[in-house]
Amino acid sequence: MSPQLLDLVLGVTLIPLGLLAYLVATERVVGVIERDRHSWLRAWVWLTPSFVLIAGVLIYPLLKTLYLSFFDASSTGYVGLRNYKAIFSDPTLISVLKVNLLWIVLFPLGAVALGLATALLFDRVRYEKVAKAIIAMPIAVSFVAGSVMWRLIYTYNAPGTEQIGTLNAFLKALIPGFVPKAWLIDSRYNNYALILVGIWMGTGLATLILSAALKGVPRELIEAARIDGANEWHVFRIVIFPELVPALAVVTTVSVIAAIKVFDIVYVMTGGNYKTDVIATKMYSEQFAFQNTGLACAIAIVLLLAVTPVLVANRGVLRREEHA
Amino acid sequence: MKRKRGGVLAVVAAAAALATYVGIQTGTGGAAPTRAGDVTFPPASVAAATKAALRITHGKKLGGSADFLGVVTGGPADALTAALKPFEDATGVKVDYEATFSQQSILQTRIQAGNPPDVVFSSYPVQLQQLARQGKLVPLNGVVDMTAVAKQYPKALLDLGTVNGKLYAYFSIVNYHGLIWFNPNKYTGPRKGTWAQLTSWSQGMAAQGRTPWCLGIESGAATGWPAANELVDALFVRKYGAALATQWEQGKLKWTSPQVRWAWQTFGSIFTNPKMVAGGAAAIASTNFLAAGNGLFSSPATCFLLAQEQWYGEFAPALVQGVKPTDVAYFRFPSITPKYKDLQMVDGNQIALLRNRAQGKALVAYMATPEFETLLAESGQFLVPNSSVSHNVYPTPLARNIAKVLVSPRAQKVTIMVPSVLFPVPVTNQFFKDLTAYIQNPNQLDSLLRDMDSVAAASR
Repeated sequence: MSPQLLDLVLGVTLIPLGLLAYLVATERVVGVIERDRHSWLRAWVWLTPSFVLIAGVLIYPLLKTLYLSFFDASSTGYVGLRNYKAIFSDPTLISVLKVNLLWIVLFPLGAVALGLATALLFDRVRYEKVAKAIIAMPIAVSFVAGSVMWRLIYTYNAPGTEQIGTLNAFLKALIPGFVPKAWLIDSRYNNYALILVGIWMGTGLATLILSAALKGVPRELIEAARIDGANEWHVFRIVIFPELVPALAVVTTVSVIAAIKVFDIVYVMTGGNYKTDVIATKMYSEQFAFQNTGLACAIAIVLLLAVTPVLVANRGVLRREEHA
Repeated sequence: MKRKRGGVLAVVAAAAALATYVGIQTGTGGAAPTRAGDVTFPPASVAAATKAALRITHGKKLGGSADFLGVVTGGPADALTAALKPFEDATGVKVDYEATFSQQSILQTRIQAGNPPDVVFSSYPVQLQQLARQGKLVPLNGVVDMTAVAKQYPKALLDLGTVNGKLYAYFSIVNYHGLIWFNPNKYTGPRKGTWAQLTSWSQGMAAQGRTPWCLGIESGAATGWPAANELVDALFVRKYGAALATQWEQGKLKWTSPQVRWAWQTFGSIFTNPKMVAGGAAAIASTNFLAAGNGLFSSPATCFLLAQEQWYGEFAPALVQGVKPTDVAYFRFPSITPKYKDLQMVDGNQIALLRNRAQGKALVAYMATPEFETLLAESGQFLVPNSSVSHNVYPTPLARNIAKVLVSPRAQKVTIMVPSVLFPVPVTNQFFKDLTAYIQNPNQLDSLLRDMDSVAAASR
């Protein structure tokens, strides 16, 4: 038996058996103490393995990352806040933050607006299910596969040669005298081209969530508004939209988080070249290409801090939903 | 075929691309499974390799296994594992070959975790030197036949694996750089001579409205390497020679120095001029390096010259539609300073030993034998720098020609590494990135070179 196979067998047998042994053993002890009605004890005993796991794979790495972010590239010399200062003062890192800001604004805007529009329009047609299935298809495509596909769509060939990229070939056929564009290279529009890929992938989920919320709007309310003489715009603005706000908030926060931590699309399509680097690709390249562990950890912490408020807001929205 | 150079990212992208070239699907990073290949060798070579393996273990069956960590995948990995088969059969040692595109970080992690592989097949000479200094490698003196090794490998390559007078690593395979490819049916310019002559021919073509050069640098996260390795490095070495290249690699010669600036500017005078390169800056950036030379064969040709490694001569007839082997030929990168015109540039993969176990030691000793390296050469997937391997064993005329030059006694004295491979990893990666930016906007040369200096200073 190879060592890897042995590890695997031990892993799938020892871990559950160990856990079981732990529960049986502690249960005996708890059983004795429980007579004093310490019902909270059993809960903590059962929760402990999960806490240990979370502490091991989440809390410890987080604290270690925070610790390392105060050290230099080789994690040997203490540098204080230097890595954090660099993030907000180094021109290349500032341009990375600007690109991320563009993602944070445009990606949720595009995905939510398109998701809302498709959800509303599909609600009015007979073939809604088919249409929704089509718009939701990109959800099933991994970000890497989708990015590879879009790279082929955006492919640029020099003017005068055959255009292999779908977009340039299409535009050339449509517009006489069209000069092919290097969509992913020209920094005037390459970030928009990348964000569009994100929107293509993100719209499906937005549509599904918003469409589900739309089904929850009471039909009688809409009917009543129509009978009272409201036109369709008013029905949407006054009746439907307020009912959709919680779902919109969820979709928006999820999209904002996706925009803050976007990695795959940029990494696969441009490798962060041509001024398309975002925080996550920068973190990756600082660690693996430039071996600057300190800076990479500081970027990771900044990324975490940027996501946290959105995450908290998202939790808040969900909680209100539950209580509503 | 082979792997690609400096930097984790370089390997990720290029290995994927090259694996695609040989038509084998690979994993997407991490450990890629090794496939049992259908590589066949002449029986006499296999018998000789078996004998060599038995000689190392004095006919004893060692048994057990050896962990072998490498970067080659797909067809080359099949050839490598097939060439290890005689060793496994003769010694009873099972070789567990594991390929990864992130070798550098995986090796570091495994060493830190106290679980290093027995043997590593590495494309990072600088990392191996560091590991040797840290005492993480087992010296090969006494493990391999030192007299034979000293005789069969170029000294410059052995020096790269030598730390404090002890040998820790030797190059088992190499890639040959400094070649310029053309289509003999279309190209009418100079095939010998100087860079100045080639430049003046290029200018003449540009004046006629025909773009003389092909260039494509897209290679995923390693975008930029073809311009760095095949052009800027080559220009620098031909102009300033090996000694100054070493200073540059070690950070003693600044990127803002007149010499390095000359190499960038000379590169820029051609490759940032849209009249000189097919498609101009946007096409250079968006064309994958594997498709860069397609213009050599189109009708009419859109470009006439392509700087690329030796594999291009096998790649184009195999994978570019309608290209015959007779449509591809090369000349060596032309002379700039006459005394440096014969320097031949390579990069490659080194074998090093990390654990002091009999199985690993026997494996390393086997891989240093001409019998094993003959199998690698016969597979047609590798170029071996071992002068005891006859160039006649390579399957194609092109490989035979290059191998003949590579291992000739005279050439062995002038073999050096491509500078990009010997920079610290962050410097190599920044070099690719900044050169890519330079092609898009040549006006920022000063700030890019200053940027390179600061990365080089931080990496020392």
